[in-house]
Amino acid sequence: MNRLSTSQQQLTRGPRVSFERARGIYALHVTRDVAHAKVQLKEGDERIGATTRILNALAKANIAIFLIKLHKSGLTFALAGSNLSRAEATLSHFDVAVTTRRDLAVVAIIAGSMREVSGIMTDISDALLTAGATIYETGDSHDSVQCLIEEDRLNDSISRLLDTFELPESAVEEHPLYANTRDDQP
Amino acid sequence: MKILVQKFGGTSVDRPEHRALAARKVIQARDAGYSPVVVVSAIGRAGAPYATDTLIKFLKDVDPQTSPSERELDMMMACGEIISTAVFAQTLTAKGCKAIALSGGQAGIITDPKFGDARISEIRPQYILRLLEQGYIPVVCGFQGITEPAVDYEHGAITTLGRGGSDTTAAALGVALHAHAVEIFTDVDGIKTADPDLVPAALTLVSCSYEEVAEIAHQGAKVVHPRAAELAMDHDIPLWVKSTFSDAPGTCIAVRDSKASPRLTGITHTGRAVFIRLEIGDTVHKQQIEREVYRMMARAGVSIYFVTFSARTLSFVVDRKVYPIARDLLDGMVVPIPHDPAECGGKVGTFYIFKYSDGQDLAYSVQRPLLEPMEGSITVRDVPATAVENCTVISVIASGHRAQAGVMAKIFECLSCAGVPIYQTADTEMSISFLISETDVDRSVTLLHGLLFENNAVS
Repeated sequence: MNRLSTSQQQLTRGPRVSFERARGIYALHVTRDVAHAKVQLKEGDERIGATTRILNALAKANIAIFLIKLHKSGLTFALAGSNLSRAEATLSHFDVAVTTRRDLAVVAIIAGSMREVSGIMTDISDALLTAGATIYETGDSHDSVQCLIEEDRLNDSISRLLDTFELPESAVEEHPLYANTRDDQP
Repeated sequence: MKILVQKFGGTSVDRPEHRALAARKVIQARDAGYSPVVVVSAIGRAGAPYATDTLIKFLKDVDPQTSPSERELDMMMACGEIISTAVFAQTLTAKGCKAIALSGGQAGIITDPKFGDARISEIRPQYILRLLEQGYIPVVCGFQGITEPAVDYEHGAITTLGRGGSDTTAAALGVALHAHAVEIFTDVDGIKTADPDLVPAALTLVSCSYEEVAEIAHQGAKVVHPRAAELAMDHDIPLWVKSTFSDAPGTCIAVRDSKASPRLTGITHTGRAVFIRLEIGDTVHKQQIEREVYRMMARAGVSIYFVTFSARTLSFVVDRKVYPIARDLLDGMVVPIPHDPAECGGKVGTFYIFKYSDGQDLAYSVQRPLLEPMEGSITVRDVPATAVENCTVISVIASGHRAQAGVMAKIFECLSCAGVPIYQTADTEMSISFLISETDVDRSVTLLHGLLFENNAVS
């Protein structure tokens, strides 16, 4: 879909209409205390086998991961900050280089039919850059773009995103990561 | 008055015998003490004489060189539902019911003026309520509404609601009428754990949450349109998916306990995609280059998804139909980054130029030599670009998977062991998606269904 004209943009932004959800961005979901891990495989490692073993080890240690991205020489993922030390201990059994960072947060920009509207990624990256945030990872789906950024840049980032998408402050919702975690999983 | 909204899709009203079965569902509801409000789609699918596609072709054939306006297209498309509504009302009348056909406007459905993809802004249900009190069964055109009659601009113009519009009409009427429930009748007996054409062993879900069905629909399953599911969710109206052709109980879509255990709901597949990977390299300018790529794609109206970046690369997916545009944009694209010459050995800037693999680099091969005379004062760096065509996305709908370790590991191992290359993954709170080759879809869906559903109880 082509970029929308100004008059159309007035229809696409802002809160829900009285009946249907409005087109375009309508909410920001925030998840705090998130960590990020970058696992670099050794040159010559068979990527698929090594990735499978790492994912299985994390699963066995009951560490849920998300925003998982596959790279030529490794993988990256996010996890709850509270699980980071256990994840580091698990990964230490592998002959891989691991870089981690805690004190990150996910800000998810929520929209109706995200993939039918082009240009949202530009608006998001401009807003976050202006707020001084570094994007460590992104994830996207039909209704959201999730950005992993420094938690101490979160408030500025939210302000910029609210301005960019002309949203009220009430559009921001906190989404704790582990609202339904149970100790006996998996 | 217990109002029940019943929506019948195109295949439920395409033949007299199918309409008779649909009418039986309406009469059963009435006999059970409900006041039914019926919503119908156009008769039949593409190729049928009154199907939406046929009507569009009729208008376009007036002069293939002159595109019809969106307003006239909407008026034409709305005829399909008007015909269907009149025929279904007559079917009910012939069976002794007091039925009345209503257009979207007569049913009080007010939309914004975005022709072809209008949103419902308001429903004025007074007329339908009066008809129900008088014992009528209103049969309402799905997929359509009208703009606000009191506004001078486009007052009362017929609009259509876009894809899945009849489901949206049904859900919206359910909300406006405070219906007991909304029933979506189709040709399958509920929401399945996979496409039954690919997986004959696919199970029918007994129940499903609004979020799950919206995710399933967004990720490619053609059961209920996500707009309808979102409307029902936002206004807490129970939604059912049932078969017109059987008495199977169907799938109930309702609120799910937020503290419920994580669970798997289904496997879907959708889209024809191209995976593009840019080797930007280890440069301090990487973020600026990425922004220019986003900006360029946005300017051309190309949506990108599955966006992934590492220290050296940026990769993303575009729909195959817009890939030629994306490729033409990237081939030979130059991102100039100015420098302070005093800090960069006298160079005034670095020019990054995108280069596709040989044979697809026409613009690069023309533009690159043009930069050569300037290389004394600028640095030129190639950004190699590669593309994997013929990709598609399969998704496992897994609510709460972010709180459950091991879901990703299980799926990754299953596909990897089967030799299915996974180009990239993406996940949300509701699903995990994999970008794979189109040729691997059938066996991947079958394998994952076997692993995740055929040995697990699903309810």
